[in-house]
Amino acid sequence: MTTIRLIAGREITTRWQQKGFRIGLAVAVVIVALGALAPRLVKGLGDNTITVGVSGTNATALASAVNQAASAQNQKVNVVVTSPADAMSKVEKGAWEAAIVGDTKIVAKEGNSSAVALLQVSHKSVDTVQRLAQAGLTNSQVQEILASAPLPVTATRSAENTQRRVIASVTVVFLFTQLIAFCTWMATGVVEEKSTRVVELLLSAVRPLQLLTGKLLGIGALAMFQVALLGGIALTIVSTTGSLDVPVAVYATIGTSFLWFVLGFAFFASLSAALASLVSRQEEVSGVMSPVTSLLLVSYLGSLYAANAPNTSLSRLLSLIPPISAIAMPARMASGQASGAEVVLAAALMIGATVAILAIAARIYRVAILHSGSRLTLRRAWHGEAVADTI
Amino acid sequence: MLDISNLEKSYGSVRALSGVSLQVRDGEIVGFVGANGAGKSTTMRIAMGLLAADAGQVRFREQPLSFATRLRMGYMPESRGLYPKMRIVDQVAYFGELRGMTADDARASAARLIQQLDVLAEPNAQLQTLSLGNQQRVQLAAALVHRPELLILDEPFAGLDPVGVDTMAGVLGARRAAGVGVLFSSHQLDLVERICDRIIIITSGRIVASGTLAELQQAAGRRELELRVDTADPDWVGDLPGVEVVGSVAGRLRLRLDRPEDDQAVLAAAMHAGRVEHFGWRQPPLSELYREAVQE
Repeated sequence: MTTIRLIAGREITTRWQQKGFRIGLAVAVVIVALGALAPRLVKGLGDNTITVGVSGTNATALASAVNQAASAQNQKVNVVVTSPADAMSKVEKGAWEAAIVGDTKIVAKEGNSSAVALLQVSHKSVDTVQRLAQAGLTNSQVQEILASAPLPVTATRSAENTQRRVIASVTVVFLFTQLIAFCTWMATGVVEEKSTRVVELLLSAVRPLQLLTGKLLGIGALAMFQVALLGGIALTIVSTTGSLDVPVAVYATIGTSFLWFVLGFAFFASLSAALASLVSRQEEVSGVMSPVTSLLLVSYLGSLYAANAPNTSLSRLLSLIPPISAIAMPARMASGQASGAEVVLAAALMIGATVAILAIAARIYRVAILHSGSRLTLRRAWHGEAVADTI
Repeated sequence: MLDISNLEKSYGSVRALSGVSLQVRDGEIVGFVGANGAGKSTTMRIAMGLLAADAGQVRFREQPLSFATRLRMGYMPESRGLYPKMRIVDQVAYFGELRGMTADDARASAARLIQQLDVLAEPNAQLQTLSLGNQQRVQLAAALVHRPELLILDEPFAGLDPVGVDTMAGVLGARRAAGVGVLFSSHQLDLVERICDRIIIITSGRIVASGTLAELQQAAGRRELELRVDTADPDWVGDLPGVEVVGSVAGRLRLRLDRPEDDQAVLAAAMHAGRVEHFGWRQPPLSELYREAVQE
């Protein structure tokens, strides 16, 4: 256990000591933070108060009606009582959103803005009060007529669904890029030990499986740290700035997608380590890794589909098949369409597949790790003699 | 003592080792010589538990080789290498910790060795910034850091400059004095002759000679008298019975005697013929013994 901890610790500290890693992480943090802020930036930062003008004979009544209507709509508004000419010129210059000019018309920057709607509602209510008074109703009767409670609003789920799908798609992209990055690390880490030939010295002190386990745990810990950090930053920004109106349930889903990442990492990274152990030079890594990258790409595309059409039977199927499920299932969960039974089944299948891949990877790695020279075929590695594990 | 007995190893149809046996006692330096592919590295890898033998045994201090006993041995593989981007003290200490040292002990030992081996670098320097010679010293430090009781070094002198060779030889001598057994392979036979207590010659997977240099010379079974005589009679030897002229190198005659005890008679004849400038039993160098051994 101490040996594995030492190996894992070395993976972490040497990478952390490298400037490239720290810069890369900082850049990722900035990108993720900007990405999380983007929807908010589009909406406009901070003050979203609108300024409108009212003029004419009923200006004062209009002003209080505007304030009332605005507060009912959660809209911050600044109402200015002024002359028709001034109102006209302020809107024309663009200082105000809209204004009631005289008793006859509204001028506005945009014909269908919320400011216009606000003025229309206010004008209508003032006008109604006046007409009712003219019709002989007392003030209290008028109040009674107007005091209709607003209807309670039940939002259809479509808006939330859209946001959930956005979150699901972002989850897919995020998990995919992180898996690609850390599998590449794993592969280059294995080949580094072969190409620098440090591996024979290592294996004179540790068993191959200790080395493999330590590397998986070390790089895995860094991967989880980075995913948790970036995911945490994104969630914090999104929820505190109100970039997206994320329903609380989604946070729980995102938490579980972290566990899916752990499974996905174990599967793809051990596969990467086994394949990388077949070659001895860094130039050969991308070639020998092509099955992993293809599998990841298929998982990515399948999961992107599942994120956007979470209810089709194809999506259901994709989210059950390991290793696609490692990305597709959290995506479907984020979109709120995965049943508990499906999640449990997918998790069981993925855990089984991961255990199997770990065993296969261990067998190949034990044979291939001391092999030098030309690329070893999988068949020879499978049937070969394990090294450095003879005592 | 490291006791290797009757190792057999084949790679497919290629027989790499046949019945290889050798011992390395505490406090002795044993040179392991042989051509490329003769089986040196295979023997050493089996001794370190990196390869499995088809048959035979490796015992260290009366115990069969195990994971625990192996941690008491230091190893320098032929295919050398360390982590290029790791700091040198961290790196050497890491190998100490992997072999069971505490973190503090490993760090102290690493720092001390790097100083003793005259590695020219800042302790926090990455390995890749060092010259090759300095990297090789760090490699030796990685083999020595855990104060091993036995050293198995596969061509430790390869690629070293003369100063590096002296440093390495000095370090091995100090370890021998501390009671550590050393088995090392080399192609530099003059060096092996100079620093080894015993020599083992392997060819085509078989041990063909082993012993001290004197024993090897004796076992070669062709002791020759070498003498230089300032004489006007070049044929003075011709009359001596049981004496054969083998050759003449740089003015020195080489004679083979049927009966070695006749050497005094030869000396007397030489003195009679002229002034004897040199007389003695010739000690063939290791390179000569080696060539003969591998040709047999």
